[in-house]
Amino acid sequence: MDLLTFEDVSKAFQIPRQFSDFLFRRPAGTIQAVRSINLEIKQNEILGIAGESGCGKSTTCMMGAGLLNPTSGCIKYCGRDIANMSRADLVEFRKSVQLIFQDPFESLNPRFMIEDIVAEGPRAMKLWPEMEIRKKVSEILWEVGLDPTRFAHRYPHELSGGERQRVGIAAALVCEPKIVIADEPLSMLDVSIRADILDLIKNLAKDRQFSCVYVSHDLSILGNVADRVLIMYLGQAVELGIAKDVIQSPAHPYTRALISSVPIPDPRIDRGVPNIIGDISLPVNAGQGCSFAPRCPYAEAECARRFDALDTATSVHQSACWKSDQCFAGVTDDHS
Amino acid sequence: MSFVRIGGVFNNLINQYKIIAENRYGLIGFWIVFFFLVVALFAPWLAPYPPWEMLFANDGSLASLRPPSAEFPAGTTHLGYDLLSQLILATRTTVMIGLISGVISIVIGANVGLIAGYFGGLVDEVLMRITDILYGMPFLPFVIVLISLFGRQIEYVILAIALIVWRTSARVIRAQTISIKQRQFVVAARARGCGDFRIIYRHILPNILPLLLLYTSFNIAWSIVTEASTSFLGFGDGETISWGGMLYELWLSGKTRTAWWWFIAPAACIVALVTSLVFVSRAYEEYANPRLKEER
Amino acid sequence: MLLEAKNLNVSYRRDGKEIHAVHDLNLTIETNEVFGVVGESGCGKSTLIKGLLRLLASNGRIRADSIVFDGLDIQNMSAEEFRSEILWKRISLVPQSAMNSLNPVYKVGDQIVEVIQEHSGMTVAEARIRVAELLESVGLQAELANSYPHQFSGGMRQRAMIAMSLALNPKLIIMDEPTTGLDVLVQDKILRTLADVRHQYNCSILLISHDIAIMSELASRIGVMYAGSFVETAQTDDIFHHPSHPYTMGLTNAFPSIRDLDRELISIPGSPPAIDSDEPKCWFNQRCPFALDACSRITPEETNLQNSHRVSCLRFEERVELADKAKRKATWIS
Repeated sequence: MDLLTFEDVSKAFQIPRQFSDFLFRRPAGTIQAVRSINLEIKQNEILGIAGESGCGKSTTCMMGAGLLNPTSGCIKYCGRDIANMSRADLVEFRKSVQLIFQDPFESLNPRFMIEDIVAEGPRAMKLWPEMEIRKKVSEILWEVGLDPTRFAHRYPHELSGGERQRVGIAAALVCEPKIVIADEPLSMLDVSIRADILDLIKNLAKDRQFSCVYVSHDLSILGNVADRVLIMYLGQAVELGIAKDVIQSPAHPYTRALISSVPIPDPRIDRGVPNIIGDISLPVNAGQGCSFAPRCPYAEAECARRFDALDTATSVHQSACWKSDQCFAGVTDDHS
Repeated sequence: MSFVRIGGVFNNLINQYKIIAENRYGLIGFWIVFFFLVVALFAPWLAPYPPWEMLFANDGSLASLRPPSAEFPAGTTHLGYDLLSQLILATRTTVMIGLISGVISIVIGANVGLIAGYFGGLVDEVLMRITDILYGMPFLPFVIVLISLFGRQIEYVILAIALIVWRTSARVIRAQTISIKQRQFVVAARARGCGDFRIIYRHILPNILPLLLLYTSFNIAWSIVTEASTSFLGFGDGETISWGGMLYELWLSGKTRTAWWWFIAPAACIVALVTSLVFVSRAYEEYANPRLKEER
Repeated sequence: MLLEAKNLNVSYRRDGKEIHAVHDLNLTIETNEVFGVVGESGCGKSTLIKGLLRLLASNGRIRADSIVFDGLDIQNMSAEEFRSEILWKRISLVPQSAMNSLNPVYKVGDQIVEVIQEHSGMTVAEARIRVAELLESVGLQAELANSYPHQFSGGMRQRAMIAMSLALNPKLIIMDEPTTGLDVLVQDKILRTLADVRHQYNCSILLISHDIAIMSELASRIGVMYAGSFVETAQTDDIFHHPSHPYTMGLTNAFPSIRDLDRELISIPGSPPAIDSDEPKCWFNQRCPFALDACSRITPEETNLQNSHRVSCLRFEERVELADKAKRKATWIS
């Protein structure tokens, strides 16, 4: 059963109207952060979403957690549209879909003790009586590797970056969610401690049986942690498949460029030059068709009109590029 | 649902002292304010004479317009009233008005600022336009008009002052709320299911506390100055004595040029208390913005 | 040898105590090479730069046995001489988040002209020609000199800052985290630009980063910095394939490779220490799986292995076996 689905979801942000626009009678521009995304997140899977800044992955996260409303399309939790949920359903939704944030320093309230930070969700949503909340807080702190007797009454500024991120994870998991959306949880941590936190997330997902949407720009981490991976570019979903397939045999020209530009920590390997033209642009007043066309070395006139939507219900390796088969012979593998 | 732990309040007060004490001036200011607080508390027992009793010197004459001496350390008025007693009893009035007006004004200002800043949109517009209108009002005339409307009693004086002093803190707290609202821990609170008011009062408020305390101190200072001014202009409560009122009496007596002691005593008290409160608010300013700290 | 610093110490006075953010550091940079300093937060890399370029706050002090740059004794140079002769002319800096340090109200070209004029006798006309050359050399069109910073993307601004650092043909450019915060495609462009520029201008680069992967692409020699000094310096290949210090071994384990997705990532337990005392010890010993008792009492000396490979570890003689053990996850679980 699909836990969370995005049906043709788009999100546009208005650029605040500048005075010059007013003078020259231009309409305010819009940034299309997300364009016609379809997503199905199933039980017990880790779905990775990768892409560079501006691709819409963070906006997608926020919409998935119900913190932003889509401009068009709908997001459904267990089949019910979250925009039209009853109060009781909304509490259930909030409890079941939680977020882990990127910045371990900023995502914790500096005035709260650790215990209060973790207990805030259940308290705000009145999930359990106070005594039971305290018990669950203790348990979850143990599970993330923090001894409650030592940490419960400390303040965020007394903890290291890794410890703070563990607190963030505890705060998300104490509500016993079914889906955890993790927005780049490792990128602000020192590299030598990332592996432990990654393992923690992987193990907790297995033990506590939740699905995870793991958003990152770091494809090597996704290759390590995710089951399926979705690549996004300027608001569009361009490639989807099993993580290893997408990374080792990328089918979309953007993914190929992306993967070939990741530096490899070994001086003996030369990764070659990524095949891409120009610099990334802002998705302002974007038209139909493929948003990657202006930078694509294989682009044709057709590309400005055509964009193949992906079937995100499966793990079949697909690319939104209609020329994938022609350009990269034998790349698509079929897995059901 | 309790938002505040009672046990923690005492701890908090000690913390506040530590914060204030970090700054040299804050420390001086704190102790001066504390001194005035104690005087205000024990005023009736400290004052040697009743404030409006005609006093006579040892030789039987009216102790009129005596400069400071051993018998009358602050001197006397033209009617033989002891200025020291007046000063001490006036301290109580002034401190009370200052505290109450200051606190009421910060409560109004903080709530206006928090709500306007958090919700934005129409709520923000309406609240800020009200604040703007109040900004347009000339301070003293406004208070005087209100006092004239409601009456001269001390309660109305307090109210009138509070109703205008809140305007500055509202603006600043709104700005701070807007910037805190965008921080990740507020987004996190929303993701964990917190409602709007819980976020405002439980998550944002503790983070603007230094600013709040800064303005509380400042508002109290401003209330005291306003009260002194209105009393000096003759719009104070006739029944209670205040430092400004003492200056008014001086003015009425026509002895401003000769009775220098009558002028210095209340004026010095006003300056001392207000400046001390401003020093305390400086200590909070440094705490709220550690970059202002001097290098030691 | 372009730059040689022997026994460099940079300390801060805080709350009455002297904290040695950088201690006993030996640094050598040759001409025409890229020397990488890799380290995590708090290791002292920013302090190192500030110390070398005399950009410390008023409570900082630099002491060293000697600091020689291009034959000149820069340690004992007066502040005035250093500022006019060395800074920007011979050694320039691209600071961290440089792309955010461009003044938004002036055109990019004008800002570079200003830097040029301040440190040389060029006229405005000459400076403008130079700016055009510089922009071309970093892959930007010369006309972009007339644009404002907000019209540039993040990557373009970073390249403009690199152009600025090249303005007076310095022999050494110090770059602090030049690609942090940039997307991977933009990063790729910047890395290529740096390699090109180094070739064109025949300069050396001191590259500071926490990212060992970009080091492996750009740097010919790497110094691994931990808690204020180098625990190991070697040719890049040796760092990756013959690591001799447990921290280096741990670091290479922690970095994922996109070509080797099945390799298990291993964390180093604990977190980087805050340097708060002067006692003799190896700062890594608390996190080190191979620590001996002696490691908490003795500061290891820097030993010279072959091929200009230097390491500071008491157990350096067993490095091959230790490197092997370090590859296994079980070794690191305390």
